[in-house]
Amino acid sequence: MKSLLQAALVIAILSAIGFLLGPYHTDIYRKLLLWIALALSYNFLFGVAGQVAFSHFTFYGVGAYAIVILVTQAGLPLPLAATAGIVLCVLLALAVAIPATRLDGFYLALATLALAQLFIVFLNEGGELTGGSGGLTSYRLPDVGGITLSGPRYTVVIVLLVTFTWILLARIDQSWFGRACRAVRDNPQAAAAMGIDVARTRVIAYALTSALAGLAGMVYAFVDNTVSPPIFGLENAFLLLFMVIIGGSGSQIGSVIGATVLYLLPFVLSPLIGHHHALVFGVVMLLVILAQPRGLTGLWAARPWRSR
Amino acid sequence: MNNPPGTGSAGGPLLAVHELTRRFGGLTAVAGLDFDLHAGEVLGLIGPNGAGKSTTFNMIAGTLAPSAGQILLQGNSVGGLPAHAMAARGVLRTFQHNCLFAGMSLRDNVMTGMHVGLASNLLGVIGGIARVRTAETAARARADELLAFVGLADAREQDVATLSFGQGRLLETARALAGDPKLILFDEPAAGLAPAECERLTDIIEQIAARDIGVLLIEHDMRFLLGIADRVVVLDHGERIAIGLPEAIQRDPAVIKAYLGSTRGVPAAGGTHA
Ligand SMILES: Nc1ncnc2c1ncn2[C@@H]1O[C@H](COP(=O)(O)OP(=O)(O)OP(=O)(O)O)[C@@H](O)[C@H]1O
Ligand SMILES: [Mg+2]
Repeated sequence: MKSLLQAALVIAILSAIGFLLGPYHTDIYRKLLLWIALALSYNFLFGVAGQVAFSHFTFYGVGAYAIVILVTQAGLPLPLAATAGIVLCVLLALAVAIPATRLDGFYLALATLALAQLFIVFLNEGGELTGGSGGLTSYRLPDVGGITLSGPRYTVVIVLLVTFTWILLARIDQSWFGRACRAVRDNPQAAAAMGIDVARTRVIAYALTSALAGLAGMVYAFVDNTVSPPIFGLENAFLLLFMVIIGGSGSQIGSVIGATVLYLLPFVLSPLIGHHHALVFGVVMLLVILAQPRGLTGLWAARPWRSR
Repeated sequence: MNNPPGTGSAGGPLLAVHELTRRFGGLTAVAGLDFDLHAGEVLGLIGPNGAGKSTTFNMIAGTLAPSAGQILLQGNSVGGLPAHAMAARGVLRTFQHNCLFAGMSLRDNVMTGMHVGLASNLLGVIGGIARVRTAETAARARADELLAFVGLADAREQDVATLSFGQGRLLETARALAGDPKLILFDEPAAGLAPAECERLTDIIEQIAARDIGVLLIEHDMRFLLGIADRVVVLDHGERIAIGLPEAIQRDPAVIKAYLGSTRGVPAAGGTHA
């Protein structure tokens, strides 16, 4: 009950912010929320389950393109299109993870890098279906139950996505499955001796987080009402990795902090130092990893002035 | 003395291995091994370096598949099943070099050992249904009980990194017990322990056996083993050279020749590592 109230309060506050912002800040706010949603699910995959995968943005893209194609080209009703999009993400995730997790973790990294590159090629060469390098444009979100979800109302949808992602992952993390994921990450051999099916645990964690990325992608599709290849490339996949590491991998609050800091940093820095912000970014990144492998949350936990 | 396959119901052995064999290329590490183990019994497995003890152990734990032969658990053939399936059937183990989950508290380590009992539909977890929450609360209480049993109750919230080697060994024992074992495999549990810790572990193993759990123990420390084992199997070059009561084993000429002839704890010639 208490946690439900907390969730309602967070949703109310985050939504209220959406109603206060002008168009420019609304755009930044929405994208920040989407980065947070992605960082949360990537944190579970990378930080909790210990899988080095570079496909998170690919699934974000699969979700985004799938819903647009299914709604505009296949003419499916929105709920059906959304369901089909999730199913597609899960199937694709299984197709990647089942062979890759049988091998060493290194092969998952390779397989997901290949998938990420292939996806970009597919988007660029997809002709009518994907709109090629220009992507898909000039579509809009169909009304949902007679309500037009635009402006601040759509920001509420994104807030719901973030809270849903948070709650779902927090529950899983604090359950037998979260412990199994951490055990597999730390010591697969000992995990197996505890009765944990290592391959199965890895596949489920990968499919689950990939589906969450796909869900976020579906929500993203109607933020700009355009989807195009560059967004879903490797550059953003690496940024996501940095967000999780900087925040403190394995920690949900760390992911929120990491996503917020790294997404907003360029907005703060570029007026001050122009394009050098990329340099500052790199240096900050390096310092954090060297000083505290557990990221900003680790830095906080180990604060020297802490009274014991 | 061995029951034929399929007759391991009430009164039959908990574990029976028949003609168990494992080859590594041209090397036969375990050659046609036979023994059985009853519920509540402590069976020692000894032999010089390279005798095939760990290989035997790994086949029973499901880490290695046998090249030939049978492993029967309560009469059911389980040879070749993977480690997680063996754990699900109640065969749990500790590791020779502690294998704890770093970055987890002691309690979480023990709760991880309850995986098989706790694993349920993930949708129930996501939905936060009451059954999942009650199971989790009960598991937590049980973990604290087990930590108290091995004498680590005070440290339950601590990170495992804070433990000494001996405490880690005790934590592994609690974690194995968390899986509701029928059979526990200990790989050299006394190695690296201080005398007081050794006594504590002997006590714990005796209590485990008293709960009708079978215990299979690899050990180099003869004094430790002879004080605790009900029976002992002696391996040399992958073959069983003796089986019987500890006192009889100590006097067995073949054993003395292969193993006990040299200074205690130092294996006979043939397998000594630098
Ligand atoms: N994975 C492997 N590949 C090849 N040979 C192996 C492998 N594991 C064990 N062996 C060999 O099998 C034989 C038995 O080894 P095992 O580890 O079972 O002996 P042990 O009785 O446990 O010895 P120790 O007391 O030294 O632990 C040894 O000759 C060893 O070199
Ligand atoms: Mg060994």
